[in-house]
Amino acid sequence: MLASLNFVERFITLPKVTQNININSKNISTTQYDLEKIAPLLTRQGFEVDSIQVWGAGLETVVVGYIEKIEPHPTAGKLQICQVNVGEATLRQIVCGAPNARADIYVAVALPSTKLPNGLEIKPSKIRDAESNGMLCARDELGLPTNKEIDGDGIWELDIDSQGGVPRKILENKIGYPIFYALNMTDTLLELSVTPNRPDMLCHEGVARELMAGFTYAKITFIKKKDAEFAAQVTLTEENIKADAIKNSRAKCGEISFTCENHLNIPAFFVLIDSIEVKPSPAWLRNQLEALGQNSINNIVDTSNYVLLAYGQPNHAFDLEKLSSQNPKEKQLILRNAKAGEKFIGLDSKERSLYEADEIVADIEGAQAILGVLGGEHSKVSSQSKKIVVEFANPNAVSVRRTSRRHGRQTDASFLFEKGVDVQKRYKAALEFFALISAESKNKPHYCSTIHSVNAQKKPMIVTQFNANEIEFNSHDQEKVLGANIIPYKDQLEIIESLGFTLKNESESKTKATVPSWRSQDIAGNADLVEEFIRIAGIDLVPSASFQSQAIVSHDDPQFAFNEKISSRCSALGYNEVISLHFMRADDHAKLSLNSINSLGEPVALINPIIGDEPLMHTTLIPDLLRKVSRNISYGIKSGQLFHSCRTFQNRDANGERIFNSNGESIGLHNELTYKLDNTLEYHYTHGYAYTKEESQTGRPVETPRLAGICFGNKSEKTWQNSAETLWSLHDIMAHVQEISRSVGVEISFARISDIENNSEFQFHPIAKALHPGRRVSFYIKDENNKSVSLGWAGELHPNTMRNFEIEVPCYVFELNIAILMHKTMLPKEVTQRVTNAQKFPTITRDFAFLLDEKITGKDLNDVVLNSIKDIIKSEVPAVLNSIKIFDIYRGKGMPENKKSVAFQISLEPTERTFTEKDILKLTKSIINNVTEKFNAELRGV
Amino acid sequence: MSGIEEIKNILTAPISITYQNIEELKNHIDEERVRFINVVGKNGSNSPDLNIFSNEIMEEIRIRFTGKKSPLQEWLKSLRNIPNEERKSAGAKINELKSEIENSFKSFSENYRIQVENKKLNSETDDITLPLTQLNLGSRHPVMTVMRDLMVPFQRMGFSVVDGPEMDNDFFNFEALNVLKDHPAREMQDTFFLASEWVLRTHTSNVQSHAMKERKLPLKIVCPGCVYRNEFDMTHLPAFRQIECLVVDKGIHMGHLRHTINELLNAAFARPVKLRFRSSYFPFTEPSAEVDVECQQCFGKGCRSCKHTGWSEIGGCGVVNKKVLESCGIDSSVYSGIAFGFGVDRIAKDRFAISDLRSLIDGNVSFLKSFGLV
Repeated sequence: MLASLNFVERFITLPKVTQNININSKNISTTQYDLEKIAPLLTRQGFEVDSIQVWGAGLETVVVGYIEKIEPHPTAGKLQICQVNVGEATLRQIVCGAPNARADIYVAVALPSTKLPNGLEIKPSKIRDAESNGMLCARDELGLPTNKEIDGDGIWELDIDSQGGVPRKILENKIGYPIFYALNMTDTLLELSVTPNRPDMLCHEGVARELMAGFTYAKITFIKKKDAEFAAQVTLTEENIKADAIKNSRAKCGEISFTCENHLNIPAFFVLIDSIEVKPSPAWLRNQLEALGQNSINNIVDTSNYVLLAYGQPNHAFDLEKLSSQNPKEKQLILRNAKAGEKFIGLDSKERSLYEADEIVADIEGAQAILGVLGGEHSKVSSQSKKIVVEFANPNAVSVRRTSRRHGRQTDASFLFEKGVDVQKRYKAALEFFALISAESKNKPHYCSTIHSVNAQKKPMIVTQFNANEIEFNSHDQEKVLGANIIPYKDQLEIIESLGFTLKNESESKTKATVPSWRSQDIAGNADLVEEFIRIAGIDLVPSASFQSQAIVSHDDPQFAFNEKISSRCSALGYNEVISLHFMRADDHAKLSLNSINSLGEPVALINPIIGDEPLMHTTLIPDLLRKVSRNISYGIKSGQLFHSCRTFQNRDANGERIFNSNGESIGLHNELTYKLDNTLEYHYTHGYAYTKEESQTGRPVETPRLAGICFGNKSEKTWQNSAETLWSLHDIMAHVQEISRSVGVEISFARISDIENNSEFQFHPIAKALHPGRRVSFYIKDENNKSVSLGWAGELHPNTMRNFEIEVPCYVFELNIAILMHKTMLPKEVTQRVTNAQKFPTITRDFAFLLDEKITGKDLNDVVLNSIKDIIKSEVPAVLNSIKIFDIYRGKGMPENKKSVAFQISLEPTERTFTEKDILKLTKSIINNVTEKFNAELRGV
Repeated sequence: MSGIEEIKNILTAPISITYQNIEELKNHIDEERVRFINVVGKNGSNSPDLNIFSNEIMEEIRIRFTGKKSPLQEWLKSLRNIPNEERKSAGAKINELKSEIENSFKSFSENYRIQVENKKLNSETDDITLPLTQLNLGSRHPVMTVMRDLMVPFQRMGFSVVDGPEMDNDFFNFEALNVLKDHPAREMQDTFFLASEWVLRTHTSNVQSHAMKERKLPLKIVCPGCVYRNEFDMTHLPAFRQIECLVVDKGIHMGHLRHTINELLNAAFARPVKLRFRSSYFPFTEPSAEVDVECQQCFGKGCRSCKHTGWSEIGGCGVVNKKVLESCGIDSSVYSGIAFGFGVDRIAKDRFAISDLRSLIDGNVSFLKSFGLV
């Protein structure tokens, strides 16, 4: 809400301060609004002042001038040389090209140093050899709206009322004064945030009311103005209008009779006015509208806008005679829904094609207005208009909102209707409309009558009698809601009364409060009344009070804490955490070479995505991570690690039932999304996490927490300490995943995966095709029944995947289902594996190297070594095997074909005594014998 | 100090090891003592010149003077060649020299070790201006750091952490919270729809409706999580994080709300901060207020970051609307509640002076690494 303080001052006086400014060596004392006393109140009361602007700020050096003499420019035909009095000792010479520049007029003079709104800076200059010390301005050069019909196309003549001017008598004494000041145009505009429950604050009367309550409590003096309304100047009353409106469904305006047919079943009434005189608005009205950024059109249109801005009552005036009808003496408007494709030209001269849902005001030819949104060009009030019909309809708020959005056009009227207007005050607004045009016309217009529209049942739809809501308000209500006695009951009542409530005291501690019409939507019970007085007094007055509650520490949902643990381990492993928008693209599955869009679970499509190519909620965190890697590379960051811990979503409940049957319809993915689900392992709908404690998760889409990580580029860079880079490897990322699982006490096992279904050797995984065939792995844990459950996967990106995501450095990725991991950690733990005794004897290590067949895997070797000493360390040489570490694998030069040299180190911790040479010999012998025998290997060194 | 040649000469010079009587032996002993002192100084006090002395030479000295074939050992072996009555005092003489040599050599070796060590240390001065080692440390996302930090005071005040679904239906996200059917928030412009009755939650308040319906009273919960609105620009992400707390118990009122917010924000900013409560409107609370904290950039003077108001907006709060309690099956004549919610991204934006929120989702590794633990 843009509130003009000048406008508010029509209703109440506002506190002011006097300031002296020095312009053009004149000391001018100006009175300005005391914003310190106004803005903080509004903010505290719930209407944050977002910005404050002063209309005319920056134009203080544009002053009133008087052209004393004028002569043609000696060399330029169109220019004239003016001698202008700006209140200085001598006249100023200013060259001007405006056709209306002449002697004996008052003009706006921009003195040198003025910076005009269009950016032009005024400097003393020579124009075709004639000196010019300033500029005579047209209205538009000062950033003011210009109406060609009224303002012509020359400079601004300050004594013309319709141009916003003041009489010469006044100007005579204001020569050299800033024009905004001299013309009483200075205004302060506050941009207020108005909450949706307070549409009554979307007009200046509302702002005045709210300020009155604030001033009353803050003991700032003000006077409520009695002459704020024009109604006092006419004999017509609100009661007359109400009586006419409820009685008449037809009335005559001169010789033309008027009716309205209502197919929308909304309340509507129409005021008929004859013998109007359409002319430019008076200066005060024009300036008031222009300060608020509106254009002044003519007295009728401006009055319509004035009623809206003053009372929040939208209305629309039609030129009665321009309405089409079969009989020119019988005019009719019809409230109805538009026909699809019906054409309408609005006041903005744009042609629109209407929708069936649009509600319109039509004559027999077609739409004359979009109801509550925009008037029509054809029947608008023009200088020839004599008879008008002013519509006061109360369209449905939702309908107006949707219509206004459909047409991408929000007007002041539609905005007010969306928020809700005070229906009781419609009749008063109609009266003000008539009273204002009457007050500002010499030849008085004639009020003919007011009529209501009729619906199919011949019902009027309007009401003129309203019941007010009464609330019982008690003295103890304050303590109940606010926890303390903050202000006395008497003061509470005073505030409530100042807000327009009518009070009826029933006892010392009990009052009946009647809700004013403009608050009927919003005030329902006594908590509302507590809110009303504390909002005026300031919520800051509520004292803080500590809780007296049970200490409950066992009700936490575990996921937040679990996620913190996992995430801190990831960052300890060098990963940098990222966040995303949780969306996915429709072609991401193709880029990952998945069989279908449903391979990792059926994604949920948004009906109204905000990013056109990301219409799906993600089922996997991988595509987003890959895009982030690609972006890093484009920034020149060629190496790094990222992780993302986030929920994923699918269109299935925990039992596998589809939730949204028209999933993807609005974005054309409906068919694809109904593909059958693959066997999706850890992406299966049974592996989600229940985020509610509802009795059943049936009918609720599965949400699954996942963790994904990526290592791209180099593991370590060249430095002065380290002469070569190293690349990431599959074993790095496997170790990471192992450490992440261990950090929450879970041991995992590894298995190779295949992209071929029903592969006898390896488990199929839908993501396998996106990965390097030799470098991909899945992770398993044992569930409570000792069954292997897939936890997730890792691997190097396949070159195809790299190309699809524009990544040109090697990249290792993993993704885990955190719900499965969390479930596992909550099972009872086996603690037998933990070494809890402090070490007593020195650890012994021994190195071995063997020549092995290429096909022997690390696990094969590990198993044989382990078995070879297992029994010995149990009793004979009591020890714990710490590790079997392969530290060198050598192929190539000097090695036979298909052979490799593998070196490993075993580390043993004696548990009962220090090892003797004999003990060690026994162990090494057993290892050597077993390895050489089982693998037909050759010992290369011990 | 003797040169290397001299030492070598001493070490390699032929020595007569035979003697016939004690006098002869005494001469030998005196000569040997002189030779030894020549090498190590009196009591081994010479400072060994590292140009001459090396580990090898030191070993040679040890062998030459105390080794198995050293004169001392030979003399001991030859004791039987001299008359019986002289043997005892001859042995004593030899042993006297032996312990003298051993002690002196020990001191000399110590001197040598110190010299060697000092030489080594002096040669090992690093250039501290070289680039430091690149540690491969990861980082937490600034929004997550802020979120985690803000959760701590809640937990210490006894709030239980409660999760809720991000996809939810009308009832939990709107209806139960008194956001009625035709409310603008339920239009496509503001909310992501999955179906006519299902949305991506627009606030963490849906956790409140779940908790009130599904958990036992009293409730004292804090709900962190991701929420969604259909807006995307420098100051809005369509997916962002909120933290919201709810207390429902007997006799809960606005004073408790103030207490909670004061405590939380003082803890979050690690010092007492000035707060301002502005009356506002939310369908789910009544009275409602917006909480502003004094701008931490200018401390109320007004700056660009607070748009010259001296305050920055933190979140919304209020006393839970009776209609909300009742639609969740709670008797509002017995119980009352308070709620407070705020956006985490915005606090992170202020704390880390991030001008464009979109940089939070960019994933730039350098950007991410620039955030520490606070």
